Parts: sequence; C-alpha cells; structure tokens
Amino acid sequence: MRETGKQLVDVVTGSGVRSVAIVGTAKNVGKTVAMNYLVSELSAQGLTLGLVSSGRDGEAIDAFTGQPKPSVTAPQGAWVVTAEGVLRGSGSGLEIADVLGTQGVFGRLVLGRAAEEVALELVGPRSARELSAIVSKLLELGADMVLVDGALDRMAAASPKVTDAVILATGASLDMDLEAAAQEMGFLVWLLSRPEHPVDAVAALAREAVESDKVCFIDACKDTEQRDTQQHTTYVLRITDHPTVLGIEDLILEQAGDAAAVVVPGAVSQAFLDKARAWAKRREFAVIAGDAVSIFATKRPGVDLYVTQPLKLLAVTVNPVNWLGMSHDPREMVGAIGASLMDVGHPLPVFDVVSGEKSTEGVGGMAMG
Amino acid sequence: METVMGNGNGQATSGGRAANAPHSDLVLPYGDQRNDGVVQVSFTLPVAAGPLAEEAARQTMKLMGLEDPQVAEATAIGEEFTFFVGYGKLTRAVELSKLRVAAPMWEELDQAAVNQLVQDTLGRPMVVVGAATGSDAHTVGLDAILNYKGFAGNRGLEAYSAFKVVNMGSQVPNEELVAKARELGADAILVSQVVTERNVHLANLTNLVELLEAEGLRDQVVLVVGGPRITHALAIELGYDAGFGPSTRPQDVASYLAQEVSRRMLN
Amino acid sequence: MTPGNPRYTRSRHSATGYFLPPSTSDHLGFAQIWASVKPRSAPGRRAKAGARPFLPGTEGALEGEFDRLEAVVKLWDGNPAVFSEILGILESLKDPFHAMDLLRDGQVLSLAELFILANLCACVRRIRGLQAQTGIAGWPGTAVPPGLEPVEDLLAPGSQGQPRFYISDAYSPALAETRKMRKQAQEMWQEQMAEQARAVEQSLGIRISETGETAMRKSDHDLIEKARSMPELGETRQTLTHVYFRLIPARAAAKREQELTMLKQRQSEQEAQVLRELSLELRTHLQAMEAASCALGELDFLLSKAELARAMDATRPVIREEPGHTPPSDLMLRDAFHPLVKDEVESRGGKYQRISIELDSTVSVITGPNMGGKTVALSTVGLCVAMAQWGLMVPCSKMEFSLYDFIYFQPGQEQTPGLSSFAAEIVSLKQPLSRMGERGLILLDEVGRGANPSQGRALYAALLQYYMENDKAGSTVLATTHYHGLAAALGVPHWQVKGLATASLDLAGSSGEEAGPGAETKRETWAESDTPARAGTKDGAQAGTGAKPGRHTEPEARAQATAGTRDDIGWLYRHMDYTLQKVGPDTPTPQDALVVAKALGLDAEIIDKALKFHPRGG
Repeated sequence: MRETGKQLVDVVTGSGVRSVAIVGTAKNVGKTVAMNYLVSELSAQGLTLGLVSSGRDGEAIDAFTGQPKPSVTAPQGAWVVTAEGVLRGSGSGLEIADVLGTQGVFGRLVLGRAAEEVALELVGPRSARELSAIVSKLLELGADMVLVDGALDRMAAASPKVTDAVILATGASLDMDLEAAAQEMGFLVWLLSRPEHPVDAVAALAREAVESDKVCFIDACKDTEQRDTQQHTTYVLRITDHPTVLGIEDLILEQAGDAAAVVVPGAVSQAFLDKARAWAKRREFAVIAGDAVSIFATKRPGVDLYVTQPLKLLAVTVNPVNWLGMSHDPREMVGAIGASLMDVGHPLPVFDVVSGEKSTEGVGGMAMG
Repeated sequence: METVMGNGNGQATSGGRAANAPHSDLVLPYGDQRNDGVVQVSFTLPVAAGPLAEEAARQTMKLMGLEDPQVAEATAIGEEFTFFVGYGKLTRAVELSKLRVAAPMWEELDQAAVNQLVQDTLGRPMVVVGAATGSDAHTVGLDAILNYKGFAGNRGLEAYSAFKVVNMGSQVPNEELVAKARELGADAILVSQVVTERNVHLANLTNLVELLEAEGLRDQVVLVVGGPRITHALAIELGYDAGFGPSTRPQDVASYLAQEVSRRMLN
Repeated sequence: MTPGNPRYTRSRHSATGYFLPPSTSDHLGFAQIWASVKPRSAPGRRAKAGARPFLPGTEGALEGEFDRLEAVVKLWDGNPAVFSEILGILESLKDPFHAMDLLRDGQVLSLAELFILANLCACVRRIRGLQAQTGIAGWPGTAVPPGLEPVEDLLAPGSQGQPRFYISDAYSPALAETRKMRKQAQEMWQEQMAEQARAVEQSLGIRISETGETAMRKSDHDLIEKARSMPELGETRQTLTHVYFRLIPARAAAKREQELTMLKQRQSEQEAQVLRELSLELRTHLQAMEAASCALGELDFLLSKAELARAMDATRPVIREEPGHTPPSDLMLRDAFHPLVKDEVESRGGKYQRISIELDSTVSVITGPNMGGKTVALSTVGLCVAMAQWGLMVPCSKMEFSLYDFIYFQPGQEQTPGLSSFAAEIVSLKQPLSRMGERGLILLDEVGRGANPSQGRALYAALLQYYMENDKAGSTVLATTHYHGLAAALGVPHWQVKGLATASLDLAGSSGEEAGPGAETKRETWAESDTPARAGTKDGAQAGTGAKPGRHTEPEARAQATAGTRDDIGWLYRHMDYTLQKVGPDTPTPQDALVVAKALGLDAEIIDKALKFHPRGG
C-alpha cells in the first residue's frame, strides 16, 4: 500500500524544524490538501500539533457532499488558534486556553486544545508580527510542530520571522501552460532560496543593519598599510536616515559611494533592483534584504541578491488540476517542476499527495521508490 | 431536513452593517408559501428539443439538488440547443444561526460623534491616505468618499475634523502608496480598486498587503479597500481589514474607521 | 447612536465647554502625560476611558481619589514584589464586559466567554490573596474585588483549577456517556474504513492516498468501470486526463456513519444544554462579577496612576475648598517641573532647574530673556493644575490651589508674525473671554507679538486689565511678555526669570576674546570658572531645542535655529538661571538680550553700540 522512499511527511520530520508554513503560489493549488495530509500523518506519528492560519481562506464546498468543508481536522490533543466567530457550531470540542487580544475578522482569536477530533476552519491574525507571536506561543504550550496554513497566495507566513521552514504548494492554477508554470516555480524557488552574503563579515554587518530599521550601506575599506603583504579588506556599516527605499530609490543609491552592499530592512521593490543593477554595472555591489519574502522581484534582478535570514524550503507540492477542473498528468507535472528546480540550482522534492507522484530529482538522500 | 452551514463566499452584503441574526433559524426558498423550497431555474442544454432533452433537463435539475424536477417550458434554440425553464424543490435549509458573516462591525455615527471618538482615542486627527492603485484610472468612488463635498448629501472624510486626508489620485503604484503612508504616519489606507479581470487586480491588492508586511506597517494601519465589485468577504480574504462595495457612503467609512481605531486602542 | 451618547462626549465636561480644550491639552503636554497612564487590562482601560476631571464642587471626591492614590503609593513602596505580581495578573486579565452583557441579555455564553469568566475568577482570587498579604485594610475599598467563589465553583468542572475552559464530562453524565459511545463508534468506523481501503486497493491494485482520494487515468477504462461499480468508491471529479474517486463508507461503515452522525448530533445538543444551564446559573451572579470587574479596572487604573506618580516622584496637591481670593495665594507651586521637558533636558545630559511661583492676584506677569524658559514656566503651571484636576499626583514638592472650571493656553506666535497669525490669535482668545463667569486658569504666551509692537502691547495690557476689572469667578491669568513695563503699568505682580546673571558676563568691559563662549578655545574655561560665587547661575538647560512641553516648538527654542553654534547654545544653557523671582516696579530692566547676543558671538562692537542706546539700568 505504502510506496517506499521518503514521503512529504518524512521530509518534514527529518528536517528537525519546529514550525512549517504551507504557502500557495496561487489559489486552488491544493494547499489545504497538503495541510490536511501533514496533519493526519504527523499526528499519526504521535506528534502534538499546533495549527494556525495566516489569514482566512475562502471556505470551500466539498465537491462530493455539497457541504462546506472546514479547512482542517484537528486531531485530539492538537493546539489550534482560530477566531471565536468560527467556533460557533464546531467549537465545543475545544478546551479554551486563551483569548488573545488580537482581533481576527470573526472576532477575537481563541487558542485552544482539541479535547476530541475537531473539524474547523482556521482564521488567523492580521499581520505576520502577530502570527509570529502565536507560533511561539503554540510551541511554548507544548506543540511539537506548528503548521501554518498560509492564506491565499500571501507569502508573509513564509517569513523566517514566523516559521522555521516552508512548503510551497503550486499547481495548474498557477499557469495552465506546464512549461510556464515550471519556469515560474523555478524563479520563485530561486528567489526564496536567496542565501546570506558569502563574506562572513558582510553577512554579520548586514544582520546588524537590519536591526537598525534603516537602510544601510556596507563600505569596503581596503587596508592600504597591509597591501604589500596581502589583500585585507575591512567592512564598515554606514547607516542612512531612511527606513525604506520605496519611492526614494535614486536618493538611496546616490548615497552608495563605493559601498559593497546596500542593506534594506523593508521591502525591496523591482524598481529598486532595476536601479541597483545599473549601479552594479560599474562596481561590485550587492543588495541585501531582511528575508526573501521582502523581495518583490518579478524577474531575475541582474544584481547580487542576498538576505540576512535565509528561508528553509522543504518541498513543493503540486496540484495538477486547476480551478476549472483542467488537469495535467500528475507525473508529468511533478517531473517538469522537479526538473525546473534542478535547472535553477535549487533542487527540492516535489509531491502530489493525491496521486502519490513525486520527484526527487537532484535531491540528495532521497531514494526513489 | 438537512442543514447547510454558512458558506464563506459572497456572504457579506455590501452595506455590511452589523445586524442581529433573526431567530427563525432554518430557511428555504419561498415559492408559494413559507419554506416550501420551490425554485425556478432556467438553462440551456446542447441537445435538440425532444423527450431526450427534457429528460436530460430533469437530470440536470437533480444534479442541482432539486427534488421533483419538472420541466415547465422547453424552447428549441436552433437545431441543437434547447432552452428550459423548470421547477423543483430544495430540501436542504440554510441554518441562519450558523452563518458567519464577515461584515465590518460598526455603529453608524454622525459627523460630530466620529470627530469626538477620534479625538478621544488618538488625541489628534486620524491620518488617512487614499489612492486608486495599479492600473486603475477610476477615482470617482475614492473622490466621493474623501472629497469635502462627498456625494448624495453625505459629506466626505475631508469635511471631518477627525481625519487628515491625503488623496493620491489614480494609478498610484503600491510602492508609492506605502512610501507615502510611512512618510505621513498613516493610521488608515483607503484603496480604491475596480476588480475587473479577476487575477490582475486581485494580485495587485494582495501585493499591497505583502508590501505593508515587508515594511512592518501592516498592523499599524487600518487597511480598507473599496470598489464596485468589492465585498467585505473578498477584502478579508485578500488580507484587508474591511471592504466596501457600491453605494457606500462617506459616513459608513468614517464610522468604521473611527470605531476601528478606538477598538484597537481599547483592546 | 445619538451624538449625546456619553461614550463619545468624554472630553466635553460642562455645558459651556471643555475643562481642557484639546489644543491646550496638547500644548501643555497633558495629552502626552495622560497617554502615559497605561492600565494593563481592558477593565483598567475602561476605567481610564470613564475618568473625568474634577471640577469645582467636587473637591471632596478629588480628595477621596488622592487618598486612594496615596494609600496605593505607600503600599507599593513597602511591597514592591507583591505589586509586580499584581501587575502581572492584571496583564493577563481579559475583558469580561462582553460576557456580562450577553448574560444580561439572557444569551448563552460561548466557550471563549466562559473562559474569560474563569480567567476573571482566577485573577480575582490571586489578587485578593496578594492584597490580603499586604493587609487588606490598607487598600482602598473600591480597589478590592469581591470574592467570586460561587462563580468559580460553577466553572470549576470546566477549568479544573487552570485558566482553561472546556465542557467537561463532569457537567453532565449523559454527555459523558454520549461522548464515550461516539468515541467507540468513531474508532470502529475508522477501522472499517481502513479495511475498506485495503479491500479496494487489493481488488483494483491502486493506491488510495492519505486524503482518501485516488486518481485514475482516463485511458484505464476497465479500471474506471470497475471503480464505478464499487460501492466503496464515489466519483468526485473528472479532469482532462483523470477521474478522481473518493473512498465512501459502504455497508457496515455506512451504517456506522449514520450512528456516528446521530451521536454527534446528540452530543452537540447535550453540550448546548450544558452551556444554556451554565449561562442561566451564571446570570444570578452577574452583580458580583460586575463589581469584581469594575474593582479590578479601578485597581488597574489606580496602579497606573500610582506608577506615574512614583516615576516622577510626584506630590499630592493641597486643595483649598473655597475658591476665590483666599490668602495666602490662589495658586502656589514649589519646585515644580515639567516632566516631558525634564526628560528631554536630562536625556542630553543637562540638569533641569525647577521653578516656584505664587499667584495671588487675578493677573500676574512673567518676563524674561529669550530662551529663558518663560513658556516652560507657563506650561508647568498649567500642567500641574490639569494633572491635579484629572486626579494625578503633581510634579512638584508642594502645590496649593483651588479647582478651576477650565484651563486655557494661548501659545505664542513668534514663528509666524503677520496679521493672519494675529487674527488667529484673536479668534481663539474669544474662547476664554466667552466664559467670563467661570473660574479659569488662563495662560497667555506673548499675546500680540504678531502685531505692530505698540498696538500689540496696548492690546495685551487692555486684555489683562479687562480680566482684572471683570473677573468675578476668581480666575487666574498668567501672562508672559517682552514688554518690561507691563506689570508696573497694570500694577500687577511681576515675575522675572533670573536669566543670565549680569555677573556672568561683564558686558561693558569685555572684549570678545574674554567674554564670549563663541571663542571656541575659551569654552572650557568658561565652564570651569563657573564658581559657586556666581550665585544663581546653576546649570540648567530647559529651554533648549526640543525641550518643549507640547507638540509645538516654543518660540524660545526656535531661536536656536538661527542662533550661533551648538557650543554657544550649550554655554547659554549652562549659564541661564531659570528661577522665577518676584520683582518690584523699581527693578531695572535686565540686559539679557544683549548678554544673549554676546554669548551667541555677535560682534563686540555691535554690543558696545547697543549699550550706548540702552545704558545699564535704563
């Protein structure tokens, strides 16, 4: 019955992380299916789960029964956070342990433990900051693993400030053209895999810079006295007065001077990347963001792009069926996406948890069944 | 009788004012009498008119969940199509008490009360930045809400001492809107958007949310979207705090904003 | 919602208007002080939101408030550990008022609301315990919540001594039985479904996913036909390439599922029944819960006020019952300070200098040099009165006053001279003038500066005289001015900022080299030679940049923008004596302007020429 080889659940348990966000690249990419799969598999392994959403998904109607489908079934013992408004009718199995000050759409957010198996809809807080606090709280309460259901196609839940690791859900709804979908995934995975700056001293300064909440430059000072013996570079942080680059891209870059890198604590826009590329043509210059979800690139930027907090991508799940019911062959789609990730140099295991198809192309230690 | 729980989609009314749920709990469509469940449907099948087409129509109605399907009218449209009007009965009722309506909760306040509430809450006017974002060249709705003269005799937010309004106009890139909101220390952002081709505009709306998150501003602003095809439920799903549909008056938005900041302050 | 609803008219306090108009509150820095009173719980914030200023006639109530505050501050000093624990408990307190509203309406409480009431009980129990530890008699009665043992008993089965709530089996034996049956049925159903899945997998040779779904290629016609014929599988959807099936309960499992549905229904009815009964019983304790919630809110609010008083080492003011001209003075402040300005001065390493003043006449005048802190003095007086009447301890070592009906502050207009700002000033001055029948504290900062000097001065004098002649309510008008002879002309008390003691800078005999801090190299010498002999020239720099009580930059501070270097300003800060002294009509006009000009490095020749125009003592 069970196929041999690693399944999605094994990837999660083997990674050593305590919290995982499942984020979708579009609507109807099987995010909830992946979430429920992980819930049932992880709890079957005896783990106490913490379940929370990063917002609110449109409630789906179950195709077979015609009944509205609660987004998740919390196994007995799991900790969940949702809004009190959605508990009406389905919440009596919860042992309420806290009513949070945070307001969700359906009233206050409630934290509880499932005294019995409870099917419910998860409604989360408004912001990533609040979400992050909730994830910590669930871990504190004794959850072994917290799963965050990323609402819609919003990426904020994937921030390393919120969760340890990320599973990307994608599918035919992203683009019905298989080639295009695979390429788009390749780019997204490339973007979300941005590493720290390779020079330790720069990476350390960049982390410090992000803490300052101001745009900073990192200047490279070639130590002239030691030029004879060996090339020796020291790096210095230069803090600007600007908390953002939005709308003042040129103003920021004009201050770059001979900087080796600019560190942006907030959003890195495509406009900024375009201008930074022009800048980088003349000298070595890198753009460093706080984390990958703060980078709003729509294409490869043509400038070295790093983060201070890298994001850990665990796997990709694929739903070959789009929202109109049109479908690719699951095996073909899984294969195409696996190959595309390999092409961009960031191979990841790819799963279709419905058909059981998977691709582990280029992924070390992933024996195929 | 089976019951159906609330469906999250399309559930919010555009007006969205808080209302008490009626106590008669289970409701069915009204045909000739209360809760008889009788509905009329019309559709076209790509089948030539005749007994086969009528049976197909009855089966179609069954698939819709209708009992006792009856074809009342079958009209041939060309050679290969038939247009049907049919009747049937629904037996599954909607249970009102289980519906969850995502409506912004506010009481309607008059201008003086809004001004007073904001003064008491913030001790200063609330800074509101408004823009029609993305490729959207429509500003009519936004202007009607923000401009001093408002519309339909209901004065806009600029007429309130409670609000310091900055209207950025149309086709404002999200980045500029976010930069402006940061610069002014905005308490609220009002986005006007005509959702036409679903994906393009929705992506632009979610992009704004993500930008605000990246800039660490999301929980510092009340984020509101309005437009002819916006429902509150859609706005929520997109990560906004509230959505306002057509026929929204400035007073609705003003009342909501004042009470939302006050609520955030007290909690 | 009617506009008259008290919820939305909090800061309008009398028929005629505000005790503290928003702009005055802002200018005095009171808005910021009040915002720093931060209760930790929703009931505390509610108590704060319901607070009103104490107006004339409510002296007794205000004394009561200060009694409570004083008692708490004293307890706090003696039991710091207990207090930090109490603050922690208040932090964890949830807002119980919504639950109580629902109960009052006869509605059934949700689990979340029941949790909140369990939380209320736990907070009350713990706080009562801590209060008992410190001797309950020392606590103000309104801040000791009544015990909620009966409510706690009702919720105990659901909370089990933890801050939790659950509809536990203990509430209903019938519910317990149903739950047990349901659990058994559920387990059997799961077993049957698993068996079914195995059977299907075996007979079709396919794999059914963890989600209970399976997909078949459309090309596998036989397989699909076979699957369609199996009662254990239901077709859910088709795509271009695949047909999807889902495992559905058949035969025994279907029967079990029916049973399960029935049990589920029963369970949910029984749970609803428990909630209904519990809510009904809780309703009988509504009054006790309300009293406890309000007491906790009161306690929280009181503690946050005490916290502020402790932080600024504030004092209880003496309220003289009888308003009006009661000797020795109408308003007395000793060693008063403006907490916001003090923080600002100290944060840049300066030493704040406190002021004392006694106002015993309807009108008093303050004069002083530029950057001499006149505006800060004015704001300090206003702030102390505002804080006292809002029930806060005051930042001074002693304060005596009688309650006012309103406070009005007219800020200076130096930044934007011209007729339009003058016009704005006149328009706003009509506000206090329209309330002549009430006892006001009217603080005027250089009124008329935007106008032509002689007309401005005439107008200012006339305004003050008008108050002297027409005020019957015992108002206090305190006016700052540059017009040195104004007090003498009106015959009113004259307070003068000591300023730069003349000894600190010998104007006549100096050369720039000796006298000016503008000479960079001499700067340290100046500071070092600041011997005690130079009496009154204490370090103090409270009128400097950013040292402003409210949100608006005061005129004095603004001067810095165009003045000399930072070092010159520093020198000025160090040598300015902000003390207010009462002077007689014969006191010579100080030459502060010239001293300041010199200090800021203006050419010595110009200073010398100026001295000829304005000889010493002239």
